[in-house]
Amino acid sequence: MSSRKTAQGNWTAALRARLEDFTWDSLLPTEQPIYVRSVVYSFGALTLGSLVLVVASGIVLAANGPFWWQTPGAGVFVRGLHYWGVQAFFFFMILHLTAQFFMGSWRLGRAGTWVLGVLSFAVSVITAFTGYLSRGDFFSQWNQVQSKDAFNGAGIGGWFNVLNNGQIYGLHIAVLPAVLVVLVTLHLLLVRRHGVVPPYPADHQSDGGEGKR
Amino acid sequence: MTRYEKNPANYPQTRFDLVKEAVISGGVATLLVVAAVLLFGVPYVKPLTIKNVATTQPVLFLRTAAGELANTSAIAQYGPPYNNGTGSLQAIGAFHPQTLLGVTQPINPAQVDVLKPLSMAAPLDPQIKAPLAAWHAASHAHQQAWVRTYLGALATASVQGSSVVVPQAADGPVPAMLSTLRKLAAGGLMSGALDRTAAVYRYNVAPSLLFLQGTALQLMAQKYDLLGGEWGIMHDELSYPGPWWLTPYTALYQIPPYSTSPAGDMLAAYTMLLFLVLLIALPFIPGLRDLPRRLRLYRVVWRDWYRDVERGGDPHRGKGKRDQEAS
Repeated sequence: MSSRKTAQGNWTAALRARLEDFTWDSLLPTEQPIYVRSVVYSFGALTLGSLVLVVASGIVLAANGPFWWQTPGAGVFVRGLHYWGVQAFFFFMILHLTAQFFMGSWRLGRAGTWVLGVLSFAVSVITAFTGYLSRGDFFSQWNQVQSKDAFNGAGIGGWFNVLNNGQIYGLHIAVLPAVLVVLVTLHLLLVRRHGVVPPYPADHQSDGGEGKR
Repeated sequence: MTRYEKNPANYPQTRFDLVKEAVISGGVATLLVVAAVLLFGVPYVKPLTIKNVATTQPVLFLRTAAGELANTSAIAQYGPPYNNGTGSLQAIGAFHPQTLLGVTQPINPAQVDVLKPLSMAAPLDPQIKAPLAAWHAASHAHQQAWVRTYLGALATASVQGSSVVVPQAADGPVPAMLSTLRKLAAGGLMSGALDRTAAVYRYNVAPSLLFLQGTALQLMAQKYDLLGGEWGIMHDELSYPGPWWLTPYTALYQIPPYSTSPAGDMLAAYTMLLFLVLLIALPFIPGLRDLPRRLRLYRVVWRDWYRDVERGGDPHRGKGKRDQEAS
């Protein structure tokens, strides 16, 4: 008896049924639909590649500490990888987001993929901003004192204290990346589960309206 | 009329190597980033210190310290989360989320910025004990009058070498107190005294940064064109890109009501939150979700596909591998 049939009321069986939706063909495909023929399809992969580089360089920075990355030498070089990695990450992510918008990629049951992608973008912005605050130079100081008014005015400054380096650094290297990695993983799983969204119907094609949403 | 196929697996398939694409993408991103580091380097501007202000801008240091001593500075009047003031309280009518969490990071600038550091310096410089005692013994009105008089005299002060000569005035113990405070700062000890807390491990730099946040940091930010009217925090850092992905948010600060309202920060934050909610909910909002279909830019992305389909061939001939295996 398949786990799908026994899923009612059984959480473990329900989880197994969910996981059974994934096959090797969906997780690690060796073929793709013929309409996937554009440079825009590489933006997502390049975003992910940049994220891996940002996380890897961030781990090296965290392992060596703030004095190291502010002292000329290897520390500054790795900080450079982290900094330019973030620039690349946002560059490719915004290209990816823009392209997916114009392709209406939430259609045909893919709204969850879109929602997770936008949430990943929002968390990335906060993560990167806490990074600017953690660098330890004049720009960090300036962004700290400037942004405190925004967070205070919005009502979260009483908790999110941008002048507390311990809290901001902890959020930057642990909490926010963990949230981001979970969101990106779920985003990728949904992309693989549903496959690449088909093109909008051609002008002479009938879709009963469903291909448009 | 050709039917429309919704399942990607039922379209003709081509060969694809996901792992190879992932590795190549990671490699390309890494090469680009390494090249950028080697070609352009990385931004860094030495942080501003209280020691630096005390030695290079001594009159500014004394004016800032006097404002903190009289509790007339922007932070002394700020409001939550630092105190119960209303100077920087952002509100629209009865809506003021700034008060929601209350005063969670209490700061009394006179105590934190001047009186506490001086009491810590007293064992090193016993002569400060008498001016401190005089200050504590005076009434609040008297203290305020001393600081006002001192600030008036400071306006005509002159810097001679490493000393600041402030004209004689009826300003009680204030000159002696602030002169000692400046010595403490010039020696590099003040930020440590300001950020001192009951906890031995210290991460919160709010007191020292809030001391600098008025004129000293503003002057330095002006040098780098970083003020709010100059696109503020998203402005390029030197010749490097800053947090440019905050452009929509920072753009709000360039236009009314965000640029003119005392609650501009709050308005900008909630406007961005609204934009975010709209972006998240895009697939569910009729009209907005139809925009890409109406704009037809997707035809650029899928131009080869539409060319083939509109030539009249059956786009679904040669079904996907999975379907072929199933049939």
